[in-house]
Amino acid sequence: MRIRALVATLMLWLWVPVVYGQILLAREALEEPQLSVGCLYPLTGPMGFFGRDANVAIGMALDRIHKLNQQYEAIGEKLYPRLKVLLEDSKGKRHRSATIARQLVEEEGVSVLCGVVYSSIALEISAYAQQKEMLFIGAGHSSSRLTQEPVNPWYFRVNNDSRQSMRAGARYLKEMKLEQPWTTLAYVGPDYDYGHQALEDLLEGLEDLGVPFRISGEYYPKLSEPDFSAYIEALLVSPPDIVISNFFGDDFANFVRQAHLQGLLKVSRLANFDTGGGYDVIAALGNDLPPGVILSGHHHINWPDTPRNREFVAEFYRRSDRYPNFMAESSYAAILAVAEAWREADTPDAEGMRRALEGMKLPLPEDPPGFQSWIDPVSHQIMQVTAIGESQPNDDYPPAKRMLGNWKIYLPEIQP
Amino acid sequence: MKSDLTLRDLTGNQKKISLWRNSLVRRYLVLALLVTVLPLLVVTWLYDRFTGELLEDLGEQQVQYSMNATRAALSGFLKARQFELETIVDLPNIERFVLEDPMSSDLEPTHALISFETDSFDIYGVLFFDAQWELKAALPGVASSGSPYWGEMELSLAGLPRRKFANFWLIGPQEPRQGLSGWFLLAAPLPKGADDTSSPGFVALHIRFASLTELLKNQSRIDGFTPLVSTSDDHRFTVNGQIALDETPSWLSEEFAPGWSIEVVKHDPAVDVTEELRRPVFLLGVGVSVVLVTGFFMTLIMRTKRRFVPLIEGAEAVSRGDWNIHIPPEGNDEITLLAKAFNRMGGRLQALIDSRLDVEKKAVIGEFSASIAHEVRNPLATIKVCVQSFPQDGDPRNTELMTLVLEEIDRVNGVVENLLSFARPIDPERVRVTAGDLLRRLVALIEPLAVRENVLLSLSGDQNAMLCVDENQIQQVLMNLALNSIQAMPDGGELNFDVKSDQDSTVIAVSDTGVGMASEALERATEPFYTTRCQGTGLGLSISKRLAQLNGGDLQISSEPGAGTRVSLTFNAPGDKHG
Repeated sequence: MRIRALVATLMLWLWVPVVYGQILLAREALEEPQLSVGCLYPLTGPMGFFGRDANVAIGMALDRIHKLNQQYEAIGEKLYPRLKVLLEDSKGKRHRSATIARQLVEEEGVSVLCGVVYSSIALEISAYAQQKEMLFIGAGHSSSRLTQEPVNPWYFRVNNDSRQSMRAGARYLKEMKLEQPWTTLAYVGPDYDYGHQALEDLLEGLEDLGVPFRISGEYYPKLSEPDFSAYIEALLVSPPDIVISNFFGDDFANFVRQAHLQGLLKVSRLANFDTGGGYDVIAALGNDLPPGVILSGHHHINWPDTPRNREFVAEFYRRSDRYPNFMAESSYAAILAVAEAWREADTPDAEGMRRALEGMKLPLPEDPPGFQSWIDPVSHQIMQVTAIGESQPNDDYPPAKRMLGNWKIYLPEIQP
Repeated sequence: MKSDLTLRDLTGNQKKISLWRNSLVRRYLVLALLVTVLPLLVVTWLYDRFTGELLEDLGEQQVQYSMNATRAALSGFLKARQFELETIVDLPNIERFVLEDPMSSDLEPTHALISFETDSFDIYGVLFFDAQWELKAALPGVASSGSPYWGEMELSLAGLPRRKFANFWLIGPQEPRQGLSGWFLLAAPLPKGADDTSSPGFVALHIRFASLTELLKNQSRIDGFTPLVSTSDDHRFTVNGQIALDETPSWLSEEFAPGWSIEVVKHDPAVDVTEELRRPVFLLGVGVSVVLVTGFFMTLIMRTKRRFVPLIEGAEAVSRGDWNIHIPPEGNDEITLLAKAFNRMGGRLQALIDSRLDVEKKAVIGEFSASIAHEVRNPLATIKVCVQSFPQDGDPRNTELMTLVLEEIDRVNGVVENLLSFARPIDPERVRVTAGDLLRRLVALIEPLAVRENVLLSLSGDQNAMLCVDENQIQQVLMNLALNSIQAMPDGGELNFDVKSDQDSTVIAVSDTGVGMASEALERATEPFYTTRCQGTGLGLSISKRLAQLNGGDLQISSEPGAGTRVSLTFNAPGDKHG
């Protein structure tokens, strides 16, 4: 299934009761796009909700670009490019993703690739982008391997990676020791690159901070595993003080539900510093998510409490009748980053955009007051604030019965 | 617990009754405990003895049955991978992956087919080795992680067991290490190239080891048995693919691939604190139950004793001749009914005996009085006649003495008449009369005296109430009572005649505000010859009561010293036959 987000966006624009907007966009739509972007997300299957949220958010990003263009046009500033975004359903499959990426580039002529949920697939797409010397804006996957040496000069990531999340988690755990002493950790993560890389990042973070700890066990159930009981039983043989889990989506919801039922959460604290605090997980768990679980996500709908974040969440809700998971803001950021890079580039080509992206500042809904997301020119990783909270009863964002609160905020370890 | 009761027999000897030793409740208690606790303990012992063995037998059977299914699942997993590997080996240009850049566009179609074939979370990737098992190419799968796919292309097969498995090689497993999952390889020789005389190397599926061990999951749910995967290097792995720390010899073993077996270790079920405490808790429960049942019956005995002891003491008192017993009736059960019946029996016996004594006493007094009266009245008449016959000498002193003697003779004669009235009362001639008629006539007679003594007379109540009595006798009774009341009010007071009637009876109450009577005087007031006045004969109230009884009524006195006296005359209502 192919969804042409541009067409969907045009349909939305036509409904907007602003005559000028319709004419302008109709004129824009008729003109040749200046830049084509191909995005890969699972739109169907168990992870399909990620892609469906990305679809809505990409439409919002295009609308924002359009609105800014109107302002820039009025004051004679350089405009954003006429964008064409092709969103393809990868179904979360490696082979399909690789094939579609090739088709987008070689048949559809896209200049920039974006998206991808699974890190191992992103590694392959990144290698392909490097081979083709074209930009790949990673949005949705987290393995820090993609932004480690040797850095792919054509790869940039616009959401926090596992290294940032887990190092923020290490700082959280260090602070936690003062309030609630702990000594043992166990790790349960998905058996693919992201799951392994996240533990490495956490251990490195704890060692750098000089936090004494002992690993009591590490387990790697496979992706989309529905039954974690054997792993939870193994954890219960000698329950650690804290269980770090790096599952995401339905996998994490299943893990929490089963850990709760098997009594693990009564004897150990559970933490997920990267994506466990996503709205999709919290809403899926409902009352099965016990209070006090330590969670974070790449974007939160109730933090920061800024006009821009509130507006982003409200607009998303208005368009889709649901609250966004973190994939929405990542894909939104990817489109804005591409447009901004084109606008700032000294030459409107891949090389010019690549140079513009290095060190680029990109204000996003998830930025708290006084902070602006920026892309590290060395690692090509976006630098963002990590907010870690605890699950608390909250009915403000139905159908979720819990939301995160009691926040602890961690700024990036490097400054622009 | 005090369980003995001391009683005194008719001869005055004390004897003790042991309520506990002889108690029926105690016998029921012992019987109830035997009937409930003994079978419970026996059944528990049998349950404890045989259930464990039964569960163990069932578990063993279940393990044996499921072993077959588990073996099929594990060998099926390997067969599926074999099939995938065969498909890859058959792909065109597959042997070139050892020699050329796998990302070259020439190999892209084959690469795509390999990716398609191995797009599973159970496979980390596809590896290509040369003939000396040197890794030459690594194609990552969706579950790939780190080396040899990303970063350094390193993968050492040194030290890993290698077993021939049909046309394949089973290499490994590599146990999990920190940050890395366990894996094994299923390898097949690459086909010869057009120009080659020997195989250029091998292609291998890099398989997630835990995907194999997780198939033990169903068997791991049988209590007391732990399934493990044993490999050709004598390592054993848990259901999660971790090295097993349990060194217990296997109870059951079945090979599913060369050198690779499913082993089942039998052991005592995990020592659970709750399991360990189950028996003491059960015995404690039995003990508590016994204590509770005993406590219940002891309470029952105490309560029963408290209810029965007054009955036993009452019966004992009756046997000693003390009829005035009263057992306080508690509750509303059979024992209460028994106590009430006992009280009624005592009261009636007392009344019977009192009545008998009264009759005998009256008979003796009557006989005595009649005899005295007869012996006194005749000489008294003679004396009176003689005194009246004395000549009158005109001396006023003698005349006065004569008068005094005659008056005393009349007084003695009156006493004798009273004695005769008491001893042989005249049978009443009962007629229907209203209480008002009787009382108005009485008031007319005593009014002058009342006025003189400053006593205020009053009538109240139902003056039309009918009586069926001897008019003269009841008039005499009322007069007697009225005179007694006036005499009891030396400083004046009030005298009321009140009539109350209902369907069954009519009560005439004579109430004064006089000095009243002490309790001792009240008790004896109707006894013959008992009087508190120096001039009284002590026969007035006795005769009044006798006359009231002769007229089918009764006379009751209530009094309080200083507050007055009330005498109630109660008559049955007259029947129609009289009307």
